[in-house]
Amino acid sequence: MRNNCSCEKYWGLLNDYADHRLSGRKREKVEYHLLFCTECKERLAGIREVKSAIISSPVPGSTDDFWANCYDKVLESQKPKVRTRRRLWKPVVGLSLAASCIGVVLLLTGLGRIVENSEIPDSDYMMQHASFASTQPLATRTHHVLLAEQCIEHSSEDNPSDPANGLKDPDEN
Amino acid sequence: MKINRSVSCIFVAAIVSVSLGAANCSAKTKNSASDLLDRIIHAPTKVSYSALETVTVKAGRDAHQQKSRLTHKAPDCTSWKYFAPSGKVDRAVVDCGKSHWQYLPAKKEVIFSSSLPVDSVIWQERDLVQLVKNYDVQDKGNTNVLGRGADLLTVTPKSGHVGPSKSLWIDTSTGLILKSVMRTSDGKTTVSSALSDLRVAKHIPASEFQTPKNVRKQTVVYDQSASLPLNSMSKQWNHRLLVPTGIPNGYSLESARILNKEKRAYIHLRYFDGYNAISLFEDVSEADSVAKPSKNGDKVHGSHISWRFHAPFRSLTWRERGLKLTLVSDLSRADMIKIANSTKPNVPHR
Repeated sequence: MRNNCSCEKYWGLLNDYADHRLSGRKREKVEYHLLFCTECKERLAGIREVKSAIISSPVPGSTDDFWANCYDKVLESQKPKVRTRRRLWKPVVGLSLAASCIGVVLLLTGLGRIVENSEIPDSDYMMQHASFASTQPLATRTHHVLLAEQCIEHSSEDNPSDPANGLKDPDEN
Repeated sequence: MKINRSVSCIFVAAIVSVSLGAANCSAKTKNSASDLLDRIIHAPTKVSYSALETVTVKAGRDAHQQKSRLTHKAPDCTSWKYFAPSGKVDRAVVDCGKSHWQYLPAKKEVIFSSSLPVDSVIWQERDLVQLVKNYDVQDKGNTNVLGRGADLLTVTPKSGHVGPSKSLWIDTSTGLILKSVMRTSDGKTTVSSALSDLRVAKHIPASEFQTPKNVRKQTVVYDQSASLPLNSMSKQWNHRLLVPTGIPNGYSLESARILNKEKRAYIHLRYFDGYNAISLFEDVSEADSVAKPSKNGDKVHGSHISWRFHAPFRSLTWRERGLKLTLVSDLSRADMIKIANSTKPNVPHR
């Protein structure tokens, strides 16, 4: 729906125009605008439709039954408000259930993290593998880099998940 | 007739002498290679020295270089002082066989860690037999490296065997490895090392291997069992044990150990071919899936997997049967997935 700034100033006048309460310069401006603006024409048509629907519907209070029913309703409104509590009970239970579900989900994901954090980190495996490799006379001592990082991981809360040397796996596609 | 006999004799003699010469050369080559290996093994126990070591790792198009000041006191004490790009020492590692510690100057912290198990002997005889069975080990003759005379030794996997290849330049006078270039089994990563400013010293002060003063100290304990037979391991660990049945030819189970870290036990199965190793770690885990699944959707036994690369090794992690399994090697990803998919529960022999 196009939000035309020039239309907005006419929207407030359309109701009065539909009720034939505009005159003079204002009426001329609205009529000139309606010649070119489809959106405002549709708005005017909608206003007139609602007004005709209101006019055509029966007016309450035209029969004797209406006043009798009205008196009963007044008496009814004086009774204690039990329904309000019942009305509140449903949303409260609903909110509680939703909160419980969210809590369970958070707990499970939190538990998942706890489980993962308590597992042996991958760097330990790398270090174990490299330590044995380094005992071979033909080995190059890159294992010390792993060992150093292992210890850095232990002493630091922010464990790096990426290799410290920043090399990407050349076998990754 | 006489001339023909003479010519025939000379011809036969020539053939015999050439054959003997060739056999002699071949024997000499084999003896030279094993001599060189022997020198590599024993040099550190006899020679004390200091040098600047540069290790360069190239993985694909990326490269990382690390320089360190290396000091070795025979028979078994070595210290490495690693240099940051600024030139300052940002960590030091000391390994004296039984004791091992690292110093982080920025944190003024020393971290001690326990050494390898008692039964992890360096270079057993069977390792040499396995090495020669799976690799061509050849003495390529003398050359000059960094101003010093050196013997070039090459180690290349034999046809059909999956393993790394390596060239080593061995100092003629000391037996130290002056330079080396290694290419991983997957052929995609190279690790090269070079010594410069090499100084052979009769005396290295003990202070070189002492912990700094006024520092925080902590200990990381790696409690490891001796190697166990698989059947015994299954009983001791009291969990399902998975064993790979599709290990590449030439590799055999070298050790099976139970490790303990902060009251958490896990398994290390190590397969060895005389030079290269493949490790499988097994840890009890309640989690259902890996934290960072592989982007290309690779799976092992229907489970998502995750990769971690720390040149020259990569690790493959997956979960099944209540275990977290991690395979570590320098093999290609495809080869590692095959090995992972071949794991089956170990059935103890009765």
